[in-house]
Amino acid sequence: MTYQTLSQEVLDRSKPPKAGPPKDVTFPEYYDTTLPNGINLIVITNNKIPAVSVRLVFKESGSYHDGEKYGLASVTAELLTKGTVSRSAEEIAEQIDYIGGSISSDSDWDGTFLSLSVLKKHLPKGIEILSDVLQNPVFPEDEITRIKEQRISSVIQNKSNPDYLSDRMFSNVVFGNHPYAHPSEGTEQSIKSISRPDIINFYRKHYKSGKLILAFVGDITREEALGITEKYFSNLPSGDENENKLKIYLLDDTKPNSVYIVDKPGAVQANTKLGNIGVKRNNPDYIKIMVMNTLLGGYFGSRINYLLREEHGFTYGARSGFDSRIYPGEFSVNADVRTEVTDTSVSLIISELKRIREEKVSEDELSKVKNYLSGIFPLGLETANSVASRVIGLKLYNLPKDYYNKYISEIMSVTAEDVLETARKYIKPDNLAIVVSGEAKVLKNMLAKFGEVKVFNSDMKPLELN
Amino acid sequence: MLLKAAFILMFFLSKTTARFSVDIEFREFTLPNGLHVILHKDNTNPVVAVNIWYHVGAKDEEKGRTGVAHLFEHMMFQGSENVGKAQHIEYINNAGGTMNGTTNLDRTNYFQTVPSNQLELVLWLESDRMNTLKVTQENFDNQREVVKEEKRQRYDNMPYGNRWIEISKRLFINQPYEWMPIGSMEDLDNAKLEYAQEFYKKYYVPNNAVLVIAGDIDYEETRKLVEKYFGNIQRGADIKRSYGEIIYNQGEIVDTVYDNIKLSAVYIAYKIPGITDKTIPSLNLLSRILGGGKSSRLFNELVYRKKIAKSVSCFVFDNELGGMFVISATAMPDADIDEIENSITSIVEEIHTKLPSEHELNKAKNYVENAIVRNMETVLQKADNLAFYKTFFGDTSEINRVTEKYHLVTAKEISIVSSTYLNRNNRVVLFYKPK
Repeated sequence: MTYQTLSQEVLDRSKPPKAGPPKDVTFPEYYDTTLPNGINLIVITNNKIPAVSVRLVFKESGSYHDGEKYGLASVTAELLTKGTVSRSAEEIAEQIDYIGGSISSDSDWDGTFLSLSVLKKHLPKGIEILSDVLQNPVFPEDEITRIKEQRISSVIQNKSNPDYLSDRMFSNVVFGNHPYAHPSEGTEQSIKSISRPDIINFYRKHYKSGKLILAFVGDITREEALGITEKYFSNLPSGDENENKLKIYLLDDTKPNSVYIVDKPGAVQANTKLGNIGVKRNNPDYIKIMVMNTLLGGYFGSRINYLLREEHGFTYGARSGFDSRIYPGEFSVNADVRTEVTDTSVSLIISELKRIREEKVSEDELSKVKNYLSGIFPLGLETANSVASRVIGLKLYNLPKDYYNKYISEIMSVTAEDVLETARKYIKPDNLAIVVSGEAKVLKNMLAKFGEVKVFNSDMKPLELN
Repeated sequence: MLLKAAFILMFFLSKTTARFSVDIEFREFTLPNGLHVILHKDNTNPVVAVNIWYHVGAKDEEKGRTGVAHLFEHMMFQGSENVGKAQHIEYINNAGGTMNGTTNLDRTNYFQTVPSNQLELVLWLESDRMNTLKVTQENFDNQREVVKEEKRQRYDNMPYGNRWIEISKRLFINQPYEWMPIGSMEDLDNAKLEYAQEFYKKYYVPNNAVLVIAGDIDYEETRKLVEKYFGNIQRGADIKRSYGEIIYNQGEIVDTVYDNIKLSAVYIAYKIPGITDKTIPSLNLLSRILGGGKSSRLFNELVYRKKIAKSVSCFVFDNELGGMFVISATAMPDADIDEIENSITSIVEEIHTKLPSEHELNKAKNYVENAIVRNMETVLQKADNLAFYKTFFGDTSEINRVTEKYHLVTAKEISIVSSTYLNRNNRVVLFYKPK
């Protein structure tokens, strides 16, 4: 197909046009300082929209520190907005809703997170509420009861969700006695066991200035942020980030391939998750691992997705990923496939896990992945909050300050040998936990070829099939 | 004179309430073949979004051919004259971009965000598939299987996953919007390659599309590039659209679905007018007053005080010709779902006769203002909004009037829309109970 333009040039559609000269990508400048009371203050100014986010992270104060009371960190965080010395839960909800903003608080494995999101004109009121819920919570008994009932009903509801069932089973078998084995939102039993003194103790132990990353993001200057910090956040107790360090757990990642089925009668798909223990976020090989994983199953054009979706039509999508935390998280491949092709899908995935350890990737395939990962980097810097997430990540995972300045060149320097070596080191196709939630009576025999098969119910209790 | 007085008044208001209004600058033109093009320049980041909306969705499907609009969207990634199967995605990813497509009841959109030096590549790809899509039987069969898995994953195997399908087929019985874009398994199984070919010929024409390019661009250069790649694509036949009438107050429908779930739920859907109707801002504010946030009427009563619901939500699901105002609640484990439904209904009906307070109304307006600002942050969001107003309102500059419409809503109007549309005769009540 050709086309006469006004200048009589002929348009040749058969070849893609050449890209223009690339523009420089620089990570935005930001203000970063540690105050005398230990608060790590960060200011990321960007006045594209008249809005501000204030994000707080208490490092090493998350679910990893729950002890036996799984969900304690997360319940404590949720209760911050449920009553202070001067405001009831209803008043807090009413006042933050009135200014059209939001305050959220929760914990994950690595920390406890609070954030305020408001339009600039409502920042003074928003900050006042935020600092109140952070520093003066009272944890009323009736609100604790309410939150616990809500949580337990969420857990019950989740038991009909195939993703939830597979995730629970997978964490159980891969992490054993490690804190990561348990859901950070808690279990029915663990939530029941949480008392008001547990919550108050957790709050006193972890909500300290020395563990706090405080980031002001958006339409706000450094001077404004410093003023707010001094006025509203100078009364937090101090304490350093190392005082609650826990022992490092040893994990066994050498078990032979085994199959764990969570029975979900009536399921029309098999929710499949297979893998093992992965890596911690500040693993020095992280960028090589990211390149290797992206090629394997980390983007649409990856080997696993292309094979299962575009060649076979077995699934809407298949992905692999390393969930990297302060301590090593999981590596897994996930796909929802129709029940009758579950064994074929698992075989195909395992063969890809083996192939990436055996064959060197072609330069063409590797350069596509590198171009993709380096090219999408500036897309992730478009909003102040996406920049903030990266900066907070550097702090939370103890990564070097110039990490994102070197990011693109590090990606571009990954070689085919690096990919092979990294795959051999971190992908373990003979030590997989193969978890499937679905119709057990069909799956049990079908999956026996992959290893010993155990069947569980939605409470993760062993189940005998008739 | 009147104008000047208004100006002074607005200045005064802005001093006291600092009211925000959207001010998106854009340029637009229509090519001789009917393609409407909107450009928005924002050079703050070296990225550009290209978002093309085709004015076709599930409401344009025939009975027995449900799911075709969405299945066709998948075919748009399967190759064209100069681009192989799945290569569209590969080109975009290799250029450091991200992309996707979505199909709803009224429109299908395709969007990509790329580093701005890659703009021409995207125009080449988009124009090639508008011009010369290749729909082969092999790729069609493959994507049919992918879509069936999508349906299983997101609807059939998901707790409460079929709720929208179940609500629509009752609320819109024998009317437009009777089915959702995913379609039925039976129709997907029976879908023929010719359906896709006919669909392409009829709807994927420049005169049925709005192309938006937003981001790090130069207006003149971009206009030339658009003319270069889209200028010679042939105009399609005019599309004759005729849809059945949306029937209001067709009588209350109450029904129960038994699903693989642990907690019961109730969905109440009232039928409301189309996207451009003047009542839509009032209905959106009403949804905030009733069920938005943890200080709303429904949350306070059902979740907080009575502790019978685990969660409650309320929102407007708007479509071109007519939509639904939906209230949903999930029951606590031992709660009575009928009691929840009764409480919701009485809270809804209270507002028919008793005006909401100014405080409640302002709270809802403040929420909407925040939401609008946050929804215009990235170049892709801005592109999607621009395409939305052009496609449904026929006037792109509507984007800059939307906040004003919300500010002007009165408490009286809230009560009027509530009594007009949120009545029992005009709704479906659907219970979900464990099997």
